[in-house]
Amino acid sequence: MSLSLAISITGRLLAFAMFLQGLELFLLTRKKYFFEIWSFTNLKGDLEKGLPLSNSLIAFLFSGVMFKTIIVLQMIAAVIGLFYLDAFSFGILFFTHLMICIRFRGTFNGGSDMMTFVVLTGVLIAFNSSHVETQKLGLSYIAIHIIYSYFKAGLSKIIHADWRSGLALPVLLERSLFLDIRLITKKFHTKKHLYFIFCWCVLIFELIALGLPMFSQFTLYYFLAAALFHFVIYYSLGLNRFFWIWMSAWPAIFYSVSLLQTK
Amino acid sequence: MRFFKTMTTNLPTRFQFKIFVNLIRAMFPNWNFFDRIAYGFELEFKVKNSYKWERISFDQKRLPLGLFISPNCSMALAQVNILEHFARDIQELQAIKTEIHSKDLEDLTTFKMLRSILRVKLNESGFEDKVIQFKIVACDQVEKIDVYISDWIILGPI
Repeated sequence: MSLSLAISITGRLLAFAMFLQGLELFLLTRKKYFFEIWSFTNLKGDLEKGLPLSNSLIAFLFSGVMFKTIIVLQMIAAVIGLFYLDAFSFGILFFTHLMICIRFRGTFNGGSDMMTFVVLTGVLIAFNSSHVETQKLGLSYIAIHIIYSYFKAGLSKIIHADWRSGLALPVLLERSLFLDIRLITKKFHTKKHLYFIFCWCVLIFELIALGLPMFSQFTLYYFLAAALFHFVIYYSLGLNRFFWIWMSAWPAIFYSVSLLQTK
Repeated sequence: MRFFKTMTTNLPTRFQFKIFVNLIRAMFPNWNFFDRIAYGFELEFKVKNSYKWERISFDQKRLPLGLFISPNCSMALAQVNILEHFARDIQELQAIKTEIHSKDLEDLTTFKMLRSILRVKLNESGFEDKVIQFKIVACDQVEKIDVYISDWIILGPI
């Protein structure tokens, strides 16, 4: 994969993921009760204590109307970014994402918001320079974070006995928002060996990510496993945002890993 | 220069760096996903003259295009997150204060958001009583522990 192709695909997938994020929020803000919970009145205390801005500016920037405006701005910038890979559109996306995260007291969806910042940063580094080495740096930044995210997630799990014994997975699935997942988990409650196998599949999948730079010939297979992994996470826990933002980072991994192969 | 002056006019003297860092924490990645399978949290409520606690459900249905957009599910996950944050806020308060008053908790942002969640959820189910008590319950496979039980509160209209 060439550098320009990797940047192009990463940028477009990122724009697509952020368009979906914006669309989701846009639909939510049209629901009657959304601003009841995430009202400025409820959030005012944290915003005024946490932002070094005047109260009037905070009230303006984080009002319901401005929030909807920022979401629409994100969607527009994302559509532009899908067709024209320019630093300005992605700079707007960085701004809108930051404002939205702050509006949700830090994150709306945890890890996917963090990874969005990672991919945005890498893409902005790549877009803001005509030097090939700087562009490579942008993609490498994304690749390092993605590989590290898998490995760190696995490392954090394997030190806990619940994961090593297979007990963690049914506990996690029993907290799913989907009734069918909870029922299936309860149905297989006695099949502890199954959960043991699945837990270790997750642990091995996450931990071996660190080997990708050294065994780049397996990148495609790992990517397919990752796509399946993120789909299963969505299907069982409802985390659809994770799927798209992690997928957007994969062209950067393919390119960065291939760089190591050519050296 | 004028813009800078406008931005910083009446800068709140109660600026807290810790809250600022929390607001921008998405910029500092943390990849500890589902590492510790500790307690899950449930939200329950009861009305006056009743001994029965009822659980607030955040259950969702999977939509056909849910992989692309799933607003209700994402919102439900965010609401469950508020429960977890509230439980964490209580733990943090317990660590710094020997005695916690109702006002300490009612001033928390997470308390206000929880109250709003209750208002929304009970309104959705056509519930008419406006005076309720709620509690946060920590659950694992073995036990359930009441983390917090509120005073009687008036939910008020939406």
